[in-house]
Amino acid sequence: MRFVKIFFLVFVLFGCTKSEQVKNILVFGHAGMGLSMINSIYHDNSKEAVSLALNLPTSNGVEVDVRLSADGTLWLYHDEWLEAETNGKGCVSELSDLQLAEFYYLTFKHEKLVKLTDILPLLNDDQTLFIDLKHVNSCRNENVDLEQLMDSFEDQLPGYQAQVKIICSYRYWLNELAQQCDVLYSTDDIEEGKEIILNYPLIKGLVVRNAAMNSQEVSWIKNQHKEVYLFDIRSLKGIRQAFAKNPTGILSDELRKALEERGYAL
Amino acid sequence: MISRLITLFLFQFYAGFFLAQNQESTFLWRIGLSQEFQKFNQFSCARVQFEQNKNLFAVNLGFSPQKASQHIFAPTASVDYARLWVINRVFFGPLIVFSADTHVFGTRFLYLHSSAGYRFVFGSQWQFYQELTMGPTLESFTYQNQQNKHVAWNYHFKLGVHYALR
Repeated sequence: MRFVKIFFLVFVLFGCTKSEQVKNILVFGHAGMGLSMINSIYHDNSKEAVSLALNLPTSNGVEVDVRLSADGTLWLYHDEWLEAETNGKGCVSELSDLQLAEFYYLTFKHEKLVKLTDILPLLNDDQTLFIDLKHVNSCRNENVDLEQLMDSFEDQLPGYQAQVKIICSYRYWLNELAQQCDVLYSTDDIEEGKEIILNYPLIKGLVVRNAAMNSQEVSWIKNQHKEVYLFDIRSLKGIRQAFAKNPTGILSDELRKALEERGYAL
Repeated sequence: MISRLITLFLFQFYAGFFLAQNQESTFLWRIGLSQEFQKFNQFSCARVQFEQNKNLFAVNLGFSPQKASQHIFAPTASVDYARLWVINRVFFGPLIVFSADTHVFGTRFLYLHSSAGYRFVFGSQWQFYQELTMGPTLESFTYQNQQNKHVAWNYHFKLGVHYALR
């Protein structure tokens, strides 16, 4: 009986407290309210999903996938081919803004494709926008033009540079992109990530799949005074595993659960 | 659509009483437990059911163990009506459910659900049942003076057990 009482006392005293470590981890919505999540209200990378993700209490921001149109405008879209998710065909990089404006996702709500400039005003002052840069034009099997991309960032991110971090998985653009915004390198190969950290001092850190990284590797990167963000976190179990590694932040596909797991009292 | 469902529900409910004047009516109360899985959450509920002939009316009260594991209390309440037909000891029929749940995280979140589907029941004194319903869910919350309302299609898969009070 005494054991039960002690157990109950310990549970009451410590069961409801969340560690300071977890409270300091930043939580962002992955592609809005989750990438390809069947239980998401809105399609990933839609304005509706981004708006909801930014309006949830204690949300630190959102990550979106961005592609360059033929007119040099930045549009939110994840996949390589439009026919995979929308009523359109082809690649974003091959189509004009007028054509892209006609397309919508093949969902019940028919969310429209949206420009990056349309979601920037949704950001609160204390929130961050991660731009996952899709650098390949699959229709031509080549990279998009870096110079045009840099011009687009300059034109379409006025006043928001401080709130934007660019995620890039193409190492040869890191130094150029770092001239405009904070840049993070995306990789699943930890050894490559470490090499990038050591050889590209301008980058802010790494974005890595949760399953590809352990807590020691997270610590190593943070000890280099770099940031580390984990993504592909699609369940409460995954959220708890990611928090236990103590990264700088997580890009969660289950944003509500991740925010609730971190707790409200920040 | 919802108004038609309500009309159907009321018709079915009162029709049972009127028919009972000419038939030998059977009243029965049952208590039970259920576990519900839906798009946004999971709920464990206690349940009281009133049966008259083929008409079943129940009230459910419960909470979300998933939210509880995150130190958030998320209560739920629901009412459901089913009309079941029996073949040996197996019952099957249509079902409509209206439910609400809420929790506080920075602000109060409120979810309103209405759904229709089927219930499958096996047993007599002790009954095991399974039901699946689908319908719209309204999520609403206000945060930083901004009102958010979102409607989404939702599913409700429920497993439960009943005990008849005789």
